[in-house]
Amino acid sequence: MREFDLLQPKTLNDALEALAQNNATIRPLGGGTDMLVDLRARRVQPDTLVALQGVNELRGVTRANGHLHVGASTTIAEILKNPLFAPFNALRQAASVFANPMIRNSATIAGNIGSASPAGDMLPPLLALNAQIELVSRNETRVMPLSEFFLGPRKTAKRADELISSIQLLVTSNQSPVSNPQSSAFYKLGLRQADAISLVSVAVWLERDGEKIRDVRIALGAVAPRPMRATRAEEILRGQIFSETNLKESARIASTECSPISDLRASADYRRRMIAVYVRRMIEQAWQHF
Amino acid sequence: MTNLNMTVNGKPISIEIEANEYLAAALRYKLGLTGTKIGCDEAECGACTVIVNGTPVDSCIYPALKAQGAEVLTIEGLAQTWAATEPGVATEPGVATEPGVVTEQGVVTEPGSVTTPALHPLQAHFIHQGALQCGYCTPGMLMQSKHLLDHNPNPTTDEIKVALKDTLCRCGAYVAIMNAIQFAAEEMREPNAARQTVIPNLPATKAPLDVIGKPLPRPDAIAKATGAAKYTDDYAFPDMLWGATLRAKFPHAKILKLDVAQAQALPGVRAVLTHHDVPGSKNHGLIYNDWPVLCYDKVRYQGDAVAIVAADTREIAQRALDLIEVAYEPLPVVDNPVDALKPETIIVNDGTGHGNLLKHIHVEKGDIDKGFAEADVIIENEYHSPFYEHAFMEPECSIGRVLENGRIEVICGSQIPYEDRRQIAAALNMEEREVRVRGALIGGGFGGKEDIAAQIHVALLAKATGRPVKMLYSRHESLVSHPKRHATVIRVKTGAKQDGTLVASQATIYGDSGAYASLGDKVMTRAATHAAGPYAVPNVKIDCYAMYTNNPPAGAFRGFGVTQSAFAVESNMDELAHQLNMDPFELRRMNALRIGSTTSTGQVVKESAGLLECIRLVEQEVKRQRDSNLQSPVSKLQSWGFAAAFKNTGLGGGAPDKSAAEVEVFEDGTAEVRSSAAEIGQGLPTVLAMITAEELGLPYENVRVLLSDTDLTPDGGPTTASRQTFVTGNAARYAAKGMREILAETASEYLDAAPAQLTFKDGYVSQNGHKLPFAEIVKRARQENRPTRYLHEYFAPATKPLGVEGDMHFGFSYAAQAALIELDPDTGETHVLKIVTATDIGRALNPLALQGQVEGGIMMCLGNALTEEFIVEKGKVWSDLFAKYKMPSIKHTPEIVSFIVEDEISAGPFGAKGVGEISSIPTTPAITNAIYNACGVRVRRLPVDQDALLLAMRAGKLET
Ligand SMILES: Cc1cc2nc3c(=O)[nH]c(=O)nc-3n(C[C@H](O)[C@H](O)[C@H](O)COP(=O)(O)OP(=O)(O)OC[C@H]3O[C@@H](n4cnc5c(N)ncnc54)[C@H](O)[C@@H]3O)c2cc1C
Ligand code: FES
Ligand code: FES
Repeated sequence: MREFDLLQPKTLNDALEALAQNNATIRPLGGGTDMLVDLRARRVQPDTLVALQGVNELRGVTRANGHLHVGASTTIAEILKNPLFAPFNALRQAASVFANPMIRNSATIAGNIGSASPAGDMLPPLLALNAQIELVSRNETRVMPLSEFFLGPRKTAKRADELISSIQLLVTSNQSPVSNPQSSAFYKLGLRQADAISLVSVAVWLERDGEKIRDVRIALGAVAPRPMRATRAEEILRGQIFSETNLKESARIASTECSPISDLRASADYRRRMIAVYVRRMIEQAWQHF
Repeated sequence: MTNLNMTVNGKPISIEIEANEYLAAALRYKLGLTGTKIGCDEAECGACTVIVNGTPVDSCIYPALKAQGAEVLTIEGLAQTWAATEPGVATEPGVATEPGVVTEQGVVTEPGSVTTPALHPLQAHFIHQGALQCGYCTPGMLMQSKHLLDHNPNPTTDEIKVALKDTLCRCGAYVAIMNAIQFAAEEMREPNAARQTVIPNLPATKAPLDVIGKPLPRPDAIAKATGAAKYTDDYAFPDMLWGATLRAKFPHAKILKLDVAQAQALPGVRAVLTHHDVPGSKNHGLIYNDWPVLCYDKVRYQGDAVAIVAADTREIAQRALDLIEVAYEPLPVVDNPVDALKPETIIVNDGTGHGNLLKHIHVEKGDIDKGFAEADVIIENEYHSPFYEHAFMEPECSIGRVLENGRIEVICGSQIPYEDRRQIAAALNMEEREVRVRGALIGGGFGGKEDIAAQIHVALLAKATGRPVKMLYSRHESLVSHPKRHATVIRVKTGAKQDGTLVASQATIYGDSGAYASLGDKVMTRAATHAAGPYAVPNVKIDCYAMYTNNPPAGAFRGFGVTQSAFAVESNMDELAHQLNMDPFELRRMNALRIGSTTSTGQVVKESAGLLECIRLVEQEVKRQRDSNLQSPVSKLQSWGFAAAFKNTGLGGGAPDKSAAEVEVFEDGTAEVRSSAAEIGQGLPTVLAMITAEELGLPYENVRVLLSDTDLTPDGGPTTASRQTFVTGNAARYAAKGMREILAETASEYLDAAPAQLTFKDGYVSQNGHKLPFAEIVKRARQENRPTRYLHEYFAPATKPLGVEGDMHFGFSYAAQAALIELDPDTGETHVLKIVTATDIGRALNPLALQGQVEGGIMMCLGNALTEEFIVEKGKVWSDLFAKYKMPSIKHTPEIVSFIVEDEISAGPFGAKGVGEISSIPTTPAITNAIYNACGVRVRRLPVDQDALLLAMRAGKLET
């Protein structure tokens, strides 16, 4: 195995300073559950790793101004434990089927985003919840919708000198009064009951107004080069009465919006069908949650 | 180098460490804490779990430097954590064993009391519940369980399944593990109560003798539960080098040029060897000498070894591999057995002189045409099964070293030590007596450790460098290199009368034996001879072709070919029952082999045929359950499926099947039984100790077992074909009997009774109320210059080769199983909820070990049906990581209801026959038949593919 250096900065500044050296083979290290496995398999060969574990500024979950501010180093285990995540059912459901309890203790939310795998399990829920991502470098801080962050498989809008510093989630919708109930749901379908890598995953978020779906977001994983929103499928439901016919149609549209591939795990056709099955099941589930 | 300071098991530690070193390796190789195991190095198996600052981590991907200042708890410190909360309980601290210290013996399993209070409750209950077999997963399993109980003092089975979801046990001891955790939790909730040794809930078996028939824990259990057990990689020697192997770049290619100069020049490299440096036989092989020690003319599969390196560190050895230049001329790749047989196909290996045909196996009985002419119904189908991987948790490891007198010693986890010795000696051009093979504990084998892995390579490198050399395969290397379960294409045609009587059975089987023969011809022979199922069929014709291809070699794998043919036959039988509108139990019962029936090979069944009883028990239980509760959730389909199976015990086919064992008695009243027979987790030492204890009238704890050292133990033959309990069990039994007779001579003088009238029991020899301690008798026998050791060579009843009239096998084990599955009609996902199983194994020598074999076999076969597939594309292995080979985990564990049938076999030790494989055979067809019953689709290809299943269901097709 190739040798590398491990930096363990104590402050965000030190970490950003190291990255600003703009060495092409320097990489941030979160929980290491992707990075170190890749490193051991010689899929990546960085010279230097910057461990973020000790950087306090990247930790912590706080609620302010109607937003939940989730530090980059927040682990998947914490999402399950911390009551502040209670309003975000889809995120919790994703965390509960994520890897196993041991991996969840190490794996971070920023690491899942940073890996930018089309099958990353936290990504559809974050998209469905309309998350914003904050990126910092020595010179600048920028915030963008997460939906604009993913460019392709393992490609993101993040520059090499930048770190993901936090994720922000809206606790109440800004277009609607607080009284409108919201609900979300997530499902991950694995191959042959082995749920390590999703064949498809679906996250939905609903805002209810009486018998109507006031607003809706549907996000899909593992069926396109990057995690995606099924916007046309959303259109079918938005502002409409919750009905079996609309549901079916929306699910059907979602399955045509994605562009899955056939591989050794499953055919594209199967993945499409599963998108239809699970978009419907998840919307039903989210609706039942009201 | 950085200084790493941490506390390990309560002790402050300071070591020098590189940034690229991981905690698992640091603990094992720098601190000698070898209890922590490495199964994959990719965070997939959980074997390396340790607790850092109260949180369990996969130490294989945990950079050691992250543990700076941390409190680390490993298996060696587990007992201490309990003792610390329990004042007054004496305990051994988790001490680091000095690396480099090795006893001069092979695997000695010391007697010991398992009620010792110095164990953590989890350790104690794991031992008593039989939750550890090969023991390789045990440390990780225990650490993970400890963390669970620290946070949840009363976990439900579901909570246990969540917590241990990715901590894998390939021996499949999951049911026992769940029970053990719950008993431990109970004990921990009442810390003041005395430890209760809870006897697990086992199926009813015959009344025990003094020792035989009792659910005794394994003699090596304490060592395995405390991390003290030593597997090959746990040994180290001063000045030891690390070896590495350059594998082929193509699945099929000519070697044009091989240049090692650059690699040799790399500082730290001590030897680089190629085929030029193999002084003896250039090929090795178990039956056919067709597998190059190091490739010379061409490479035939991706895992072929081209060159080997020994260097000061593992990293340097790896780097040296990159510097070896090999020029290849790629050749066409033969990737399936059907193409391999075509005359125009390029020859991969001419190992047997028949081109790609390794062996054509023909089984014929009666007149097949006449049979089908008599049939009212004929069912004919083609079935496909892929390669499967043993995935034993311990990757292959070998250590070679030169002994003082120039002899070569190889330490390894081998299923056939004497075979290793033969092949090593041949390659090194040495006499067999100049080679010593010492078996270490084996972290699972399942058939995958019968062939040579690195044994010859380390011997060559040790000889070349004069220093000890260790080769430890990475999981990737293990996956690409060792032999698999044969991929097969099986066409079966079954003919029956309207009343269900089978009249004809025909099969054509293509077995993909990969690049080298390994045990391919034997495996495919078993597939063929069992291809009519456990039934009496008057007219049989079977043709089986074992073929060479450019896939990884295929060899022995628990079930030995019968797993594949049973899937085909039992699917056909189920279809037949439906066509005839017959109860599937009834159809099997009508045709089942019983006393007086004749098998496909013309063998008349004379005794020990418990299949009818197996079928009866399973049928009764399934019907009871089906009537009482079958409430399927509205959106899911639930159904039962049924299958039956048989499997030979012993090598058979005319092969001399012998084993030797030696028993020695000592003046302290103990005995030692020795044989070079491998323990791969199945419980052989337990059985040998029990048999010896029973025959000598000693307490079980007073018998030690020494296995697998070609210098110290007589040849026990291969651990294969479920033969060890029978063959080596008998050898031990006769050796112990012989020993007893000698001791009886001495005792008879002192007790004034005829030797035959003496009773050996509980450590005493007695007659009419007079008794002498066993120890005393041994002392006196010695004074009388009588021998205190006795060797017995046992020959199993003779068998006949296939095609020759007479018995091809001396015995068969039988099983019947039913599976209850749940299927999601929208997604095709299938779950196994329950397995009902009945197994005829002659006699349950140890019901605890037997239960482990039954449940483990079922878990493995469940993987065979639903989760596993070793994928090779055009000779290139896709499943080259654990992440790409999904075996069942604890969360797949169904409820298992087990019955034991004890139809004794007269020649078996106390009536016992083989148990290792039979339970792993009928599970797959029971599951696929249940799938048919749920959704009307026949599974013709394994593993069950939810995609194909759904497609067939939606298209209204009847098969996948
Ligand atoms: C056994 C196993 C099971 C798994 N199961 C799942 C699963 O079920 N679902 C799933 O989605 N994933 C799974 N994974 C993958 C992995 O655990 C996740 O992607 C995890 O979220 C990665 O987080 P991490 O903190 O470990 O990231 P790391 O491995 O530390 O980093 C991942 C990537 O993100 C970058 N990165 C990390 N932090 C930052 C930051 N703050 N700013 C910028 N870049 C950053 C790194 O440079 C790297 O490129 C599994 C992995 C293993 C080993
Ligand atoms: S998980 Fe670490 S060795 Fe397998
Ligand atoms: S005992 Fe678990 S892997 Fe062998």
